[in-house]
Amino acid sequence: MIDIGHLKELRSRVTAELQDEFDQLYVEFIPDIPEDQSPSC
Amino acid sequence: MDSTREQLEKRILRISFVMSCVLSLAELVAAFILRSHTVLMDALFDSAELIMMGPFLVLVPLLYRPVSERHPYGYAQVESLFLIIKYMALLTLTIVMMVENVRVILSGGHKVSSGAIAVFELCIAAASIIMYFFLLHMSRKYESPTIHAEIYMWKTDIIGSCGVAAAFLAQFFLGDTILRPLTPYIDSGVALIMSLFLIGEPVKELIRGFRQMMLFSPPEEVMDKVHRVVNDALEGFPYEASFTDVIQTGRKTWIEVYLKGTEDTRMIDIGHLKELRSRVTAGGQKTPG
Repeated sequence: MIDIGHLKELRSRVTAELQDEFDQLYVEFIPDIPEDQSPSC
Repeated sequence: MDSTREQLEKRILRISFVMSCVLSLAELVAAFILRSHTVLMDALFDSAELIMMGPFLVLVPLLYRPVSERHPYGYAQVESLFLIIKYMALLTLTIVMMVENVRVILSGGHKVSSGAIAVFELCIAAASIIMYFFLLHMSRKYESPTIHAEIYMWKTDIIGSCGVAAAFLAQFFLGDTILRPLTPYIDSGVALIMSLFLIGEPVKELIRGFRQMMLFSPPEEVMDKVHRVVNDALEGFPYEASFTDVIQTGRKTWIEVYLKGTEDTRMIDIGHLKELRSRVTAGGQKTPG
């Protein structure tokens, strides 16, 4: 299970660190789901 | 699997390349001997294809390299760029051909050895028909934008050669009739009509290529299908699609769906995402054969 609150928090942290360096910055955290094995929760 | 496809595509392109070389050389020699503008233009059109096809044989392995942090979309854009250059060259040549033929018609036309040209063009058409059906047969096993472009090129060769052959046969038979004054215009007239038929495909492909290079969304019917497949896949899950990002470039299609929870929950089940991805991929894949 992925906590949406964690993703929001991670996005805020990375955006805050990088936003001064880029005009229009979009940060996304995407779960990496392996094709051939069960996902770890 | 990818290496088999790569080998198959390389083999198809190599056969097409060798055959094009042989026919283009024959056309150039024939254009010189028969002093025909139409045969020369046909030869130039085919030579332009060859010039563009040579480098592509080198590029094919790049298209099968996996994505990396350095190349997040792989080399898919290279294929789009290459096809834009190719169709741009063909469009330019077609326009040059049209202008030249209008000029010849306005200046009173010209006469050539009609029988010899007709026989030569019929031989070229027969060779092109064999290649066209060979590529069509191979494309049933494996299809790519490049092979599609090759099939189109051979199709234009058949139309071109048959058109030219018909024109010169007509000139041959009109020689002793009341329509005799028309004979000097037949060569350029048919070449002009041929150009009008051929100009549509490069224009269409250029628009598609530029859309892909700009990373615009695919045509509406593709987007509609993706939305339908995504919505069907989401049935029974506590999410809805808030944004669907579809990018088509070269032979690759990337679909990213942004999900919003429909229930008051903070948690996303990774198993759900895996299942959704399988459903959308299965719904969007081409049916083999």
